[in-house]
Amino acid sequence: MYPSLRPAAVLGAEDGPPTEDSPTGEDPPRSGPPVSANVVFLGLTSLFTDISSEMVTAILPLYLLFQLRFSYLEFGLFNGLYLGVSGLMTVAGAVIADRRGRYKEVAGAGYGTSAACKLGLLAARNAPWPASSVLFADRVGKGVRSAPRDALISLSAEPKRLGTAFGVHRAFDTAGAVVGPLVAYFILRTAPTAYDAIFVVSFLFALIGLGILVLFVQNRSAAHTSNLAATWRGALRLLQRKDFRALVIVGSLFGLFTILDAQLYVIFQNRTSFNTSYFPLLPVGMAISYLVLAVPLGHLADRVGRSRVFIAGFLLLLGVYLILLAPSPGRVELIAMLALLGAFYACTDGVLMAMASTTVPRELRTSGIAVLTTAASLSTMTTGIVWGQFSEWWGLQTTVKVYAVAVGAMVIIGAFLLRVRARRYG
Amino acid sequence: MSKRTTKARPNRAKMSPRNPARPQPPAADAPLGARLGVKIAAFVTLVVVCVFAGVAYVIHAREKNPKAGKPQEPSEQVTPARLAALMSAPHLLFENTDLGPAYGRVEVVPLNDPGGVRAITPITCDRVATAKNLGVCLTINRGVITTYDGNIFDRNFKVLHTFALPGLPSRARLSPDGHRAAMTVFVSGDNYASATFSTRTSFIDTSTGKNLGNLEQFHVTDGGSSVTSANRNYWGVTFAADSDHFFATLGRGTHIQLITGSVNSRSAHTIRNGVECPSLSPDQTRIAYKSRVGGTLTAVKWRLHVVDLRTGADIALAETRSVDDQVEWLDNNTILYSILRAQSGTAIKDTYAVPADGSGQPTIYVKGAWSPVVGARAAS
Repeated sequence: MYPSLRPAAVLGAEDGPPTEDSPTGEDPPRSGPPVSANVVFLGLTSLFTDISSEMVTAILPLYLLFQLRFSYLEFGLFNGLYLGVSGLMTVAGAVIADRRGRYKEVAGAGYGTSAACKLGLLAARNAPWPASSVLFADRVGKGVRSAPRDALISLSAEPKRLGTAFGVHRAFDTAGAVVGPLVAYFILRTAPTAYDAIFVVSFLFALIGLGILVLFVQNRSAAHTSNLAATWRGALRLLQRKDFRALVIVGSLFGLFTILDAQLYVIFQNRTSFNTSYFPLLPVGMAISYLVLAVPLGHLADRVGRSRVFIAGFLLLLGVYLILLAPSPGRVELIAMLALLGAFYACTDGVLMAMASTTVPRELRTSGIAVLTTAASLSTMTTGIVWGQFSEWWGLQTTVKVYAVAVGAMVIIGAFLLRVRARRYG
Repeated sequence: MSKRTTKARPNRAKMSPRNPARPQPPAADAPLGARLGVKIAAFVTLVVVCVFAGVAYVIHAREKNPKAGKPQEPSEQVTPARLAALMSAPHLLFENTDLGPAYGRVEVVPLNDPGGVRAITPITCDRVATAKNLGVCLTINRGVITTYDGNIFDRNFKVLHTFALPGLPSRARLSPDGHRAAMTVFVSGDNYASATFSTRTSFIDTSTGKNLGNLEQFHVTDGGSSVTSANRNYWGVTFAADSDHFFATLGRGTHIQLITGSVNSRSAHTIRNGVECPSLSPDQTRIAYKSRVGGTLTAVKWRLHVVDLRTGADIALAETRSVDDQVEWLDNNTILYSILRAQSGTAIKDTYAVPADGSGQPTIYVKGAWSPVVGARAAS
C-alpha cells in the first residue's frame, strides 16, 4: 500500500525567518474556520481518488496473475527507469504549475491520467502493450498531481495553520485507503470474479474526485512582487537556500533509515507465528491510526513547533523498531506497532510539507515540493534495496538494531540541523 | 479572500499573454458564490450519472458470474463408490472452468473417454495435484482480506491437513510416492516496490502437513558458487521418480535457469538456461517447459518446448500460442496444458494435447478444464 512509499522527506528554504508580513506570501492570519474550503475540497478529491486507487490495489495481484496471466518479471524490470522518468515528469509539471499559477490544471492532468489508467487496465487484457505501461502511467500521474496539490493546500491555508491544513488533507486521503478495499470487496461479493466491474467503478470514483477538483477547488495566485522565475534552474537553485537545503538533507537522511512498512510487517511476521495471509489488514490498521491522528498532530505541530513534532515522529519510529526487537512480540505489540507507525506518519508526512511551505517562496512552491518529494522517493527506493542487502548480510535482528541506533542518532543530528530550538519552520 | 484576489490580479495580468484588460478573472478564480448553483448542479449530475453507471455495470457484471452461466459440458454428481472407481482407473483430474454451478470444482474423467461426462468431486481448488491416493489442493478465499490456503486430501477427498499459504497459488506438484508436495505461490509486498511480485516455492510433508522449508533456504549453486542474490526466485517444481530429486526454475531478474537438486540434502545446482516451469516425462528422459519470448516492450509470451536431458536436444512444440502453465505429461508422447479461451469474456480455460516431439497440431483434450493431472497412470 502506498503509505509505505510516502516520503519522509523535506522541503523548502528562505534565508530569512518568516515574519508576520509574510515573506512567503501567504495570506495574513485572520480568524475563520480552522481550514479553508479549498483544503477540504482538495481533501475530498484525494478521498475519492484514493478510494479509486486502493480498490484496484486490493485486487491487482489477482487480476494481473489470473486474468492477464501476468509474469511477475514483467513488473519491476524497469523500476529504476520508471523512477527517473517519474521524477522528471514531477518536476516538469511543478515548473509549469508555478510558472502560470496553474496548480489546479497540472494536478487535474495528474488525476485525469490516473482515472484513465483504470480503463487502460481494463483494456489491457486484449491490448498489444503490456499492462505494466498502464501501471507506470498511473504512477507518473500520481507523481505529477501531488506537488501542485500540496502547493495549493499551502497557498490556501493560514501560515499559522499549515500543519492543521495538511493534517486535514492527509486524513481525507488516508480514509480513502481504508474505504477502497471495502468497496472492492462488496463488488466482488455481489458479482464474483467481475474484475471489470472493479475497474469501471474505480474509474467512476476517480471521475467524481476529478469533478470536485474541477468544479470546487480554486487556484491561488502565484504572482508575487519578486523576480523569482519558475524554471528548472530556479527549482534546483532552491537548494542554495539554507533552510530548504536542511529540510531536503534531513528528510532524505531520515528516509534512508525508515524501513518500509511492508518490510516492517515481514520482520514482525518473522518474529512470530503470525499468519501472513492477514498481511493486507496491517496497512488498514496503520491507516486508521494515521487517519485519527493526522489532524490533532498537525494542530500540535502548529502550536508547539513543526520541526519539534517532526523530530518527535522519529522517536515514535524508534519505538516501532524497539517493538520489533521485543523478546516475544504478540498481539499487543502488533497493535502498538501499527498505532505508533500511524502516529509517525501523522507527525512527519503532512508536517514536512507544512515546514517546506514556510521556506519555499510561493512563486516556486510547487517546484520546491517536487524537488523534496523526488529526493525523498530516491531515498525510499535506496532504503528498500539497502535494507534487503543489509538484512541478508547481518540477519533481520541485527539490522533492526543498527537502524534503531541510526534513527536515534538522526534524531539528534536532525534536531540540530533543523534548529529545533529556534522554531525555524513555524 | 476577495481582498487578496483583487490585490493579486494586476500581477496576474502582467504574466498572462492574454492580458485580460477587463476585470474578468479566469473562471477558476471566480468567487465560489458566483457560480455555486451551476457548479452544485453539475456536480450532482456527475454523481447521479456515476452512481447509475456504477450500479448498472455491477448488475451487468453479475450476470456474467460464471457460476450463474449455463453449463456447456456434461458434469454430474456421482456416488462416492463411482468416484472411487473412476479414481482407481487411469483418469484425468482437473479444475472445472466451464460455466454453471460447478465452476471451480475439481472434476474427473476417465482417460478412455476424456470428452465424456465429468464426475464432480466434493472439492474446489485453484490448483490441484495428485499422486498415490493423495492430493494437494491450493485455494484462494476472496474476501475483504483475500487469504490463500492449501490442504492435503485423501482418495475420498477427505481433508487430512490444512496450511496457510503466503500468497497466490501458482503451481502444485506431488512426488510420485505421494509423500511430498511442492508448491509455488506469488508473494507481493516483500520487495521495495510494492507492485513487484516474487515467488516462494516450498515443500510440504503430506503425512503431517508440516513445511519442509522453501527453496530459498536450500543451498543452491551456479557453476560452483552459491546463489544468494536478493532478487532470486524459484518456481515450478517437478519431482523425479525417486520422490527426492527434483527440477525447478531459478530466476534472477530476466536470467532464467533450470536447477536440479534433492529435498533430503536441501541442495540444488543449475544445469541449463531458459527453462521455466519444467515438467519431467514419465520415462524421466525429457523435460517439457515454457520458453520466454518477448516481454520487454510487448506483453510476455511463452512457447512450449521439450528438451532431452540425455542429448540436450531442444525442440519447439507445434503449439504456437502463448502458454503460461506447468504442463502435464499424458504419456511419454503427449503433453497436456491449459489456455484461456480466446475472447470468451469469462475465465473459461481449455486443456489441450500436443505431441511432445514437435510434430502434429494441438487438439482440445478436455473443454473448460484447468490444472490437469493424470492419475492412476498405466505403468510405462
